[in-house]
Parts: sequence; C-alpha cells; structure tokens
Amino acid sequence: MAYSVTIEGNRVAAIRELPDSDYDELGLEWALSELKDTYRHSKNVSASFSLADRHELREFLAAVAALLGPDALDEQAQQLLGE
Amino acid sequence: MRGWTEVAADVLVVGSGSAGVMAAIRARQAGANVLVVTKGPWPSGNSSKALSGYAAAFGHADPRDNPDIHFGDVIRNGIGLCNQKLVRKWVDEICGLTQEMTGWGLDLIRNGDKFSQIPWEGHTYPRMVHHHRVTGKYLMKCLGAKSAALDIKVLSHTILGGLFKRSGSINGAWGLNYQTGEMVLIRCKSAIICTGGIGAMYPVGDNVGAVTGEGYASAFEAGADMIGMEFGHFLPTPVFPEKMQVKFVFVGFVNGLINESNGRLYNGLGERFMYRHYPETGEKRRSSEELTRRICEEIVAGRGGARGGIYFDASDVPSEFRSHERYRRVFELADRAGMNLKREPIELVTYPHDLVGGIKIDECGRTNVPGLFAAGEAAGGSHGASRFGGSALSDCLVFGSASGADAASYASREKHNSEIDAPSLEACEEKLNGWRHGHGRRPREVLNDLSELAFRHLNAVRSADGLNRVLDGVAQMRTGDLPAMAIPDGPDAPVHMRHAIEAEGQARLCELMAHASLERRESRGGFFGGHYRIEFPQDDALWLKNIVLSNKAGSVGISHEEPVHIGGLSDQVREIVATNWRPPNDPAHFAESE
Repeated sequence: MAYSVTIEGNRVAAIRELPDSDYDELGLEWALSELKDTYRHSKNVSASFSLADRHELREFLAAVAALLGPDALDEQAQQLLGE
Repeated sequence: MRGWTEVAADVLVVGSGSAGVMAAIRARQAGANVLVVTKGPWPSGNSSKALSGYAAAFGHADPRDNPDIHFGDVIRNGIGLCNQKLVRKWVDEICGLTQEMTGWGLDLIRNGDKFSQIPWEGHTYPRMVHHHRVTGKYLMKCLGAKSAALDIKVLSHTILGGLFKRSGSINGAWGLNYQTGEMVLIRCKSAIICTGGIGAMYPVGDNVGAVTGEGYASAFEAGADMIGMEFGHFLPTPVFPEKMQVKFVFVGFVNGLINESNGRLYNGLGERFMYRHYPETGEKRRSSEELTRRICEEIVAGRGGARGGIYFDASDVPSEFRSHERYRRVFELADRAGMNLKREPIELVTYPHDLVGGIKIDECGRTNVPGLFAAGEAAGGSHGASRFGGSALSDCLVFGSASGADAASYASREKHNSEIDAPSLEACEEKLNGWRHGHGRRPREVLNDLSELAFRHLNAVRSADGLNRVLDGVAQMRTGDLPAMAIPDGPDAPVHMRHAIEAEGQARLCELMAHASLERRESRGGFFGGHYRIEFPQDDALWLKNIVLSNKAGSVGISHEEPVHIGGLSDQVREIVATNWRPPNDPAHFAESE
C-alpha cells in the first residue's frame, strides 16, 4: 500500500493510504529531494508527497522530523515513526 | 448500449497534466461542456515533476531578452526541423499566459515587481520563471484550483481505449475505469489528446507510472499524422542498485563528479571506453548528450555489465564531496541503498526523458483529422529534432490553451452526428470480448516484452537490425499475443484490461518509432536529444526534412516534409540560429541538470 503525506506550514497535516492507481511512483528519494529543496529555498513546506510503502513512509517521517523538528509530526505520524 | 455507461460532452480532453488541464480550462471558458478522461487522479502526469521552471522571455533578468531571441534559441536547438509557425506562437504567447496565470494564483518567485529568471542550458539569456525547485507542483496547484472553479467534469482512473469517427470527423471515444471496471462510451464533438510521452514504457526512467504512450496510438488509429517520432531525449540513470532507480534526472551527478572530481566510466569489459572516442580527455568535458550516446552505444554493442549497463565508478572521488552541496544527494542515495561508492560502482542504463516528436499539429493544436486536437508532449513539430530545458511546460501551456479554445470553437460551429459508428463499436466489443475469453498470455507479460523491446532497440542509439527486430516483434504480436491476451476473472480484471489496452497501444507506438528511425538514415542531435543511428553516425543536409507517418488503412505510410519556415526573421535571430550553441567550459556547469 502506498501513502500520501500532506504537510501544511511545516507540520504534517494528513497521512492517508493511497490506492496503487493513485500512486505516481515517485517514491522516497523524490519526496526527500523535494522536501529538502523546498525547505532550503522558502523555509516553508506546504505540499503532498507520495511514498511507495510503510517502510518509505517511516523513513520520510524521520526525515521530516530531522529537518522540521519533532513538533512537525502529529500524533499519528509519531505513532507510525515509533512502529 | 448494454453494460456501458454513456456520457456526452462538447469537448473531450484526454490527460490531466499541464496541457490537458489548460486545454480543459480554455474550452470551458469558451462555453463548451468539457469532459476530461485521465488515467490517474485529477490532475496528474509528469508536469508536477518539472523542477526548475519554464522559459518565458520577459527580459526581467536581462533586458536584452525578448520573444525573438527565444524564438532563435528554439529554432537553433531544434537542429533545422522545427515548425517555425508553432514556435512563433509559443514564444509570443507564453509571457501573456504566464501573466494571466499569476492572476489565477500562480506563485512564481519574484524580485520586486519582476519575475526572478534563472539561466538554463541552451538559452541565450536567463529566462526560466520558477518557484525554486518545485515549479511544476506550484503550476499544477494553480491550474487544479482554476479548473475546480469551472465545473469541469472528470472521469479519473479511466484509460482511453480508442476514438470514434463519423463521416471522417471525431464524434466519440471509449474508455475503461480500471478501478471499477466500468466501460464508458463518450459522445463528443471534438477531442484533445494530452496524454504525455512514452517514459513509463521503459523499464527504468524518470517519468510517472501512467505515462505509457498509448495516446499516440489512439490518435494514429483515428487517422492522425505523426511527426518526428524518431527523436527522443535520452539520459543515463542507475539500474543498479535498485534503490537508486530514482525518478529524478541523475546525469548531472555523473557528469559533475566526472568533471569536478575523479568519476570514471567503464564498460562491462573493464574498458574506459570514452578514451576510444576522445583519446585525450576521455569522459571529461562531454555534454550529457554525448555521454548518453556513448553509454548507449556500449550497451547496444553488448559491452555492458552485469545488468547490461555501464559502470560509473566514484571510488576515487575524495570524501569531501560527500558534503558538497551539488553532490551530497548522490552519497545519501548510495548510503540508503547500502552501497559503498568507495568499493562499488553504480550501473547506468539510458532511458527516454521525453519523446520529441508526436501527433502532428498546427498552431491551433489541430491534427489532420477534423475534430481531433493534440497538445503537450503528445503533440509534435514545435521542438524539431531536440527539446531543450524550459520548453516542456511552456509548450504544454501554450498549445493546451490554443487547442482548448479551438476545440471549443470547432464543437460550436460544425455540424455533428452523435451516432457512434456501429461497425467500429462492434469491432471494439469483439476485441474486448476476445480478451475476456482469451487463452493467451497475461497482458502484463506482453507489456514486459514490449518494454524490453523498446529498451533494447528504441533507445538513444539505434541500428537497422534492432529496428527491424522491433517491427518483426510487433508483427508477430499482432497475430499472436495481442489478440489472444487473457483477462482472468476476479477483482483485478479491470487492471488486466487496462494493461491489455496499454499493450495494444504500445505495440503501435513501438512500430511508429521504429518506422521513423529506420527511415531517417542519418544521425541528428545536439545537446538536448536527437536521433542516432549506428550505420549513419553523421548528420546529412539531405535529411533536413521531417518524417511524417500516416495511417494507410492500418499500415504505416511514410512521407517527407520540408520544415515549416516563416519569413521576415531579423538579423539578430538569424545570427542566433546560425551560431552553434556551446556549453560553458566551467566544470561546475556539468552538474547542472533538470
């Protein structure tokens, strides 16, 4: 199962499962590049990112916490990261 | 019709990248009842992946810039084959369109009241308007919001199966919702194909998964001419380790580490093959286009490595590059892939970043089939033989806009017969039933074969032998695998049916590309793509003409056309066109890529 993570104003606003048909196949590395580039340029991340599976989702959330701070993760995100 | 959902619209738009959404917006603004069919969600496609912006000659970064200079740059980089009428419209209209979109909320980076415009390869002056490195995402956000306010109907997760004509004019289409299995019959007065390119037909590459190229085939089956189908922009990307099969352009890392440090290329025999071609410099100071071409030559000649690719060895790159702003990313990637670049090389293969040609259009996006239009990467003619950076989005936007407006006008003024041609519909049902009761291979297996065929023989460098293998392979599929594909019962049946439709389209697409490549008995390319034949390594002035493919009762007809030129070019434009563009000789330059 793929996932979509929406970040609004440097905070995770939503994590949802993505049907395979909606997954654009960009994956973790694309999401990480976009996250870092966006933050580097504007210091404000407000966008959605697609991840291939739960493993990629956790890696991405860890990167979000490292880049934007632990407060960027909501409860659901923290739980997923802690799994 | 039993078992089909019937819908009607004035204008059908197929695809939902920047060209498709812009076409839908314009057609709706012109008063048409618009229906969009898109294989992904709405919006989707490759446009949101465009990173560093698009070219629009505002002259905000350098007041010497203007649409004339932009025109000259496009013509030069198209290496003699651009349709100059298309280019003129494109460079003249993109600035106004950009201003209009900023009124819709497009958030481009500004310096005061002017746009920030950054330089890019192939452009005489800094010309890229952008939102840093996420321009496509911001553009699609803007277009999505604008279209949402216009009540445009959308059938998402629906693949176009084919187009219908009555008295020679487009009057309908059929599609499949591959999530629900719903078959859809669409009556329309005009249709615009905006289905993007071919990237996802290949085993690896940077395109999103839905861009598999069947839009070209649907247009061709309906009688549309194709132009420039032999031209593509190919680039090297990692095939191993698998975790480094990334969706962004990788060549900048490779070429940058070669030129700024000690990155090296080896073939599968352990040979520094670039020294065969460039005895003094080897792989250094080569454009990404030259690297791509030489890498692919080795692969085609069978001198690849364990997975058929070429090795990029970064073992002698000093450790300080791990923290270098331009290269940190590649070391992070390798770390996460569990690869130690000090000990192991990355294996590279070449893939298509984009198809340069496509469905032949005029400056309103019209094809030769009444009522059928095309825009974006699916359309051809504007880029000639090679498409340089900054051209994709701007071309999509301008011709999306033009085709949407003209398709709406066509729908309102022409007489239409909405009755779907019965024999065509029966043939469609017969084919689908054949697949439902087929005893042959799974469509996914046939798709994999086509992918392998394209990767082997429709890559950056091509040979007559390989191209004939494509044609023979497709001919065998037409009488064997394709009609016999088997759709198993069960909840996944619609997805298998989607794959069957894709396989049929890709077979035609491979055939079109192979015919055009076989016909062009020269090599023509520059810095941003082209066409390379092993047997004809040089360009030839006799081939300063376009190859046009036409549907002759199901077979592929081939003709040659002189490129469309316009008169009255200024001396300044003539000078730009006549000047061979050369990249700057700064080592850092080689790391630049989209």
